[in-house]
Amino acid sequence: MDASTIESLLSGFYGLSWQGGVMIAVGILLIYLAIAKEYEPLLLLPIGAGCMLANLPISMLVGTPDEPGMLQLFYNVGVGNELFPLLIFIGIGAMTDFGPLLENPKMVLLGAAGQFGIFLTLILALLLGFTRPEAASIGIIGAIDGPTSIYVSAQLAPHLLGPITVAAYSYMSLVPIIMPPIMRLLTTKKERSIRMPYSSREISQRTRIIFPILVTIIVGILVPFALPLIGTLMLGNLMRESKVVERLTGAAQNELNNIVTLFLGLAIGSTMVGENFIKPQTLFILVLGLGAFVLDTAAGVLFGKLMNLFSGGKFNPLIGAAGISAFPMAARVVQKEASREDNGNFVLMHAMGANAAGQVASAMAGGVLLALMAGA
Amino acid sequence: MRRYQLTVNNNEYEIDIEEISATEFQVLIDGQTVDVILASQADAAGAVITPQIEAGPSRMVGEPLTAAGQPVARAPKVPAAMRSETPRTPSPAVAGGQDLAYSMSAPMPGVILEIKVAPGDQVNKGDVVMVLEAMKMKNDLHAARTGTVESIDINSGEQVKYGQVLLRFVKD
Repeated sequence: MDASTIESLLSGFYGLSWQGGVMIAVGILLIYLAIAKEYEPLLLLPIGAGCMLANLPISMLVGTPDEPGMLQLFYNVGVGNELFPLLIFIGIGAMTDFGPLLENPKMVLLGAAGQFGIFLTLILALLLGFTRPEAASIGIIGAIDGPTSIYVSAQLAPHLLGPITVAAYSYMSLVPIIMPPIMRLLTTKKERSIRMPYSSREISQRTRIIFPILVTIIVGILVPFALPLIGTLMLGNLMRESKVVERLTGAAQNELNNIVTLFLGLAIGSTMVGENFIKPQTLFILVLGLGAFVLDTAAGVLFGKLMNLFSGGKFNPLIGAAGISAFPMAARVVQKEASREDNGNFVLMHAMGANAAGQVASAMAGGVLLALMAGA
Repeated sequence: MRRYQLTVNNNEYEIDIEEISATEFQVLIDGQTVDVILASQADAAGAVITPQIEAGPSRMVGEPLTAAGQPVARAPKVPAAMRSETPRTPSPAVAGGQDLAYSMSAPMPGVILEIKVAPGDQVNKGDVVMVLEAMKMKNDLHAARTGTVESIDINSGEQVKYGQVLLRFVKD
C-alpha cells in the first residue's frame, strides 16, 4: 500500500476545513428550525440537508464541473436558468383564490404600497457598497416571496442566491413573529378595532376566468420582465378557475409543487458553500433583508392609515400589512391582530384581498427591478 | 352603503345606512352619525305588497303608506290572514324575522369545523362557541352575549354564508 492509496482512503479527513464545519453546523441549525420549530419545514429541511451535503469533504453530490453530482445537476437544471421558481409559481397560482381581491378591487393599492420597502432597501444596500444588481436582489427579500427572490437573484446576483433565499424563507416563517410588533407600534387600539362590513358580492366564474387572462396580457405589455412570473402565476390560476382541468390543477398544487420544492431546496442549500458563505456580506444581507421586510410592513400599514383617513375612519389599517406578499400568512396575522383587540372583528376576507394583490405586486416589482437593471 | 331620501311631514331627510355586520349599522342622518344595532326584524314586505293584489288595490291604497313610513325594525305584526302565501327567498340574515340580538350569525363565508356548545349550555360572553374555517384559516367565534344556548342552527362540517344564523340564545 503506497502513500497515495492511504491518502485517497483518508481523503475525507484531509478534506476537512473549518469553513465546511461551520456550514455543516448551519445546515443542522436549519434542519433543527424546520423540525423543532416548524419554520417553513418544507423548504428549510431540504435547504439544510443540501447545505450539509455540499459542505462535507469532496462532496460527490456536488461533483466537479465535468462530472456534476446530483445537487449540481438540480442547480443547473432549474435554478441557474430560473426554471424551478416559475414551476412553483404555477402551483401558487393554482392555490390562490383571487375572489377576495375581485370583491374588493381597491386592495390593489395596498399590494402596491407593500412593495415600497424593496426600493428603500435597494438604496440602503447601495450605500453599504453592494453593486446595483446585488442591491436589487437584496431588496426583493422584502417582498417575502421566495420564488420571486430566487428568480430575481438568480438573474442578477447568482453568487448571493444562497443567503438571499435563506433570508427570504426564514423571514417568511417568521411573519407571525416579526409583523405584529410593527403593526401594533404604528396603529392605535381604536384603529385596530375598526370593523369592516364584508361585501358579499358574488364573483361570477366568467370574471374569475377573465381576470388571469387579462392580467397576463396587461402585465405582458406593461412590464415584459415580469411576464415569466405573472404568466405562470396566472396560468395556474386559470387552470384552477376553469374547473375543467382539475387533474392539472391538483398536480400543480401537489405533485409538481412538492417535487420542485424538494429539488429547489436541495439546490439552494448546495450553493451555501463555506468560503462563499462565511463572509461579512452574508450578515449584511440577512440584516438588510430583515430591514426590507420591516419597511414593507410599515409602508403597508401607513398606507392603510391613509386609506382610513380618506374613507372617514372606516378602513382598518392593519389590513395594509397584508399588502406584502407572504401569501396567505400575512393575511392570517392581520386577522389574528384584529381579533386580539376585538374577538368579534373579522377582517380576514379584506386582508386576503390585499394579500393576493401583494402576491401579484411583488412579482411585478421583481419584473420592474429586472427591467431597471437590464437598462443599467 | 344605501342612501334613502325620505320626506316626513314635508321635511326632507337624506339617510345613509352603512352595514357593518348583519346586525350593526352606521346611520348618517343629516350629517350626524348614529350606531344602530338591529335587535329584531319582521319583514313587512309581505303585508305591504300582497294585500294589494289579494284584497284589491282600492281598499289598501292608504294603509301601506303607514306601514312603509315606520322603521322596518319596528314594523307592526301583520295579521296572519293578510300574510303572503307566495314563497319568498329572504336573505339568510333576516330569515323568519327572529330576534337577532339573541342569535349569532356567520361573520364571513366558510365551513363550520367545530361546535363547542350544545342547546341548554350556559355560555359567557367571549367564550368560544364555534370554529369557522375561512380561507383555510380557523377562526374562533366568540359568544356575543352571556346566556343559555337555545338551539344550534348548523351542523359541524357545513358550509355557511355570510350572515347565516348559527346559534340562538334563550331570550331573557
